[in-house]
Amino acid sequence: MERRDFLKLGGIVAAAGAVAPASSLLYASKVESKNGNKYGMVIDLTKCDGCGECVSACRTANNVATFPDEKINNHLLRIAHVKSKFPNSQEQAIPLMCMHCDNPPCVHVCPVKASFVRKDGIVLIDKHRCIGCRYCMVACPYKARSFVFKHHEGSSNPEVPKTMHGVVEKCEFCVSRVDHGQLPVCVETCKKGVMSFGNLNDKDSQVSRLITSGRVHRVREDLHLGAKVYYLGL
Amino acid sequence: MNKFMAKIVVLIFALVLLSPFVVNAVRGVMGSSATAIDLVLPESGECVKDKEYMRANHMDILKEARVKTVRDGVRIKDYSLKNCQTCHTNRDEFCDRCHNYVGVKPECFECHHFPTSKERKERCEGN
Ligand code: HEC
Ligand code: HEC
Ligand code: HEC
Repeated sequence: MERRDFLKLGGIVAAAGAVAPASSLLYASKVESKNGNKYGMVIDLTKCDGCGECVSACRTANNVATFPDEKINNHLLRIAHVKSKFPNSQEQAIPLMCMHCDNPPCVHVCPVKASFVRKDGIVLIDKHRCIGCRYCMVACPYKARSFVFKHHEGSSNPEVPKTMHGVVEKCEFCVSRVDHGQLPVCVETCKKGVMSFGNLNDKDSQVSRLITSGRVHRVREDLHLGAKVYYLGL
Repeated sequence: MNKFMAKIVVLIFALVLLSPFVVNAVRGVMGSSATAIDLVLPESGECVKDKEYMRANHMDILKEARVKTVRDGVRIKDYSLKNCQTCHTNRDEFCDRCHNYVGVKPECFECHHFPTSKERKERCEGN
């Protein structure tokens, strides 16, 4: 081998060595599951009239406690009514829930690693680990989390655990339903077809097609949290 | 205190000290039940692992299953708390009875639905 060729080869190997770790780092930061699913939701606000059926279905299906005191009442899904400042503007109902960020602040602040992002992008709380410190509630810009302030008896849906006193709860995209191949209960309940849920990595899924239509927005997109709940008509 | 009194006191003390052994010895001779608790076991079927293993390790099985389920989304049907209920139908007659005896108080059932015989009866009457 010529000296020139040897040096060239050396250069190529060194360059490859420098690039390879960087690319693997990029790969690691992506949220990807074993079967390549990444779940997300699109909410079509033009169809939503704020009837609240999804909210009550959610409460029943997930054993959300209802306390008489409004201040400590829990929610996984809620409906905000907003009105723009323009004259004659209509009031708009916006279903709000956990946005399942790719880069969630709640997960970063959790001191016991109870909050985490599952491989398929669903942000979960390991309620077995949660110590109820409520840092995550402070960190979440969407107010998606709530704390169970009191003991509550009974569960409306014995199929899934309820959340005991002293633990934080939030929307988990009905993870046990999703794992069994069902849709989240709010998506299934809504008769107007406001919500669609599916795999964002699948180019042909309904959610992907709605998102690539280019008309979607996310709440507080300026925070760059990579929320996976998109809104049409926001 | 005279010598006689002292002897009586020592005798009483010895009797009190030995009484549990005496009672147990008599019980053993009479052949009464050796276990202090009687668990209501399922009439048929087999546990997910053999009895001796379950007795010693059921908490580890459950804890491993819960980490797998919650963290990785791998739902091991056999080892889920839902599955235990299909055979061990009443918590108070099985899990609780043993846990009360050995003095452990798992807080799992604050969240997980695992009916006691009372709750099961109420549900049946309600329907
Ligand atoms: C704060 C509420 C809470 C407490 C307390 C709790 N769990 Fe859970 N547990 C959950 C939730 C929520 C899930 C997730 C359910 C799902 O995704 O379907 C779960 C899932 C599980 C699972 C896997 C799914 C299943 O149904 O079996 C196991 C096993 C489990 N827990 C065991 C335990 C054990 C053992 C204890 C007690 C030491 C316990 N849990 C205490 C909330 C709780
Ligand atoms: C298919 C029915 C079935 C299921 C499901 C089942 N069990 Fe069992 N289990 C049994 C039977 C039957 C026995 C009695 C075994 C014997 O006597 O040899 C038993 C025995 C036990 C024992 C020992 C009791 C003793 O006498 O010391 C424990 C502990 C136990 N089971 C816990 C569990 C737990 C925890 C689960 C859920 C992960 C579970 N079992 C699921 C049928 C079942
Ligand atoms: C034969 C007696 C026996 C029976 C029956 C039994 N357990 Fe246990 N269980 C124990 C003992 C003893 C411990 C404590 C072991 C330790 O602390 O090392 C324990 C501990 C546990 C723990 C861990 C508690 C903790 O705080 O870490 C869980 C969870 C549990 N049992 C669930 C069950 C369930 C569910 C059933 C009924 C299906 C059941 N057990 C039936 C004897 C029993």
